[in-house]
Amino acid sequence: MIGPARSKSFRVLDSAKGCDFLIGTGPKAPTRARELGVPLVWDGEEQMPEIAVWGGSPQGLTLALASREADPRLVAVAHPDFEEGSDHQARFPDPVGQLVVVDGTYGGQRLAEAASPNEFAAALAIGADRRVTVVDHGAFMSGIALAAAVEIADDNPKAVWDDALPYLRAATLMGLVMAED
Amino acid sequence: MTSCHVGDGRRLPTVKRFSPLLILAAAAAVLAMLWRGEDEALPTETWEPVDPS
Repeated sequence: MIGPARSKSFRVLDSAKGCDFLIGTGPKAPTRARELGVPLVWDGEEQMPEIAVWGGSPQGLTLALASREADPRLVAVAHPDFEEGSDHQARFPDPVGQLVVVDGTYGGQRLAEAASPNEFAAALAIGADRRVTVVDHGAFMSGIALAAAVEIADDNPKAVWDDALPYLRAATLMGLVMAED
Repeated sequence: MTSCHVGDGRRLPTVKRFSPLLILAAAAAVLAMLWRGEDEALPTETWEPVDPS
C-alpha cells in the first residue's frame, strides 16, 4: 500500500519504487499513478495514458461476460452501490431478482445497470444461445473484478473485456462462480 | 368525498366519488406498467456452474 495511509493488513510504503503496477480505485487514482510513474490497474471506465488496464469493476466484468457471447441481447449488472434504474425491467438470478434497470454505456459499451435490493450483485449477459451470469456478494465481486484485472496487465493498455477469457478465468480462480442457463 | 346525515343524527355511510381524472390517471398507470413489461423473464432458475470458455 502506498502511503500516506495506515493499515493493519498491508505494508505501507512511501513510494512505488519496484512496483510493476499500481491497483487503484476511484477518480483520483490515475493522477496518483501519474505522480508515482507506475501503470495503473483501475476500476474506472476511461482510457488514459497512465492506465494499464481499465474496467476492473462489476460493470467491466459484465462486459467481459458479454464479449464471449454471440449476439448479446441484454447486458446488465445489478449492484448494491448502484443507483436505481428507470428505463425497463430485467430479471437477474436469485437472490437479486427482477429489477428496473437504466440503459447506459460503460467504456463506450452498452450496459444496463440497476440497484440491487440486497447485498448481492449480479452480472448478466443474455446471448443468442445461452444466459451467463456471475452472482456474489457485491463487495466481493467488486474486489475480485479489480484484482483479476492484474492477470491481464502487460505493456499493452486494454480494457478487461478486450482480454476477456484470461480475465474471466482469473476471476473464477479467485472465487467468483460463473453459471449458464 | 361527501357525507350525508338524516334527521335523527345517525351518520350514513360515506359516499366516495372518484373524479374522471382520477380514474383516467389510474388507468394510465396500469397501462404504463403493462407496456413496460419485462424484457427477459426467467420462469425457472436452472443455472449451472460453468468455466469461462
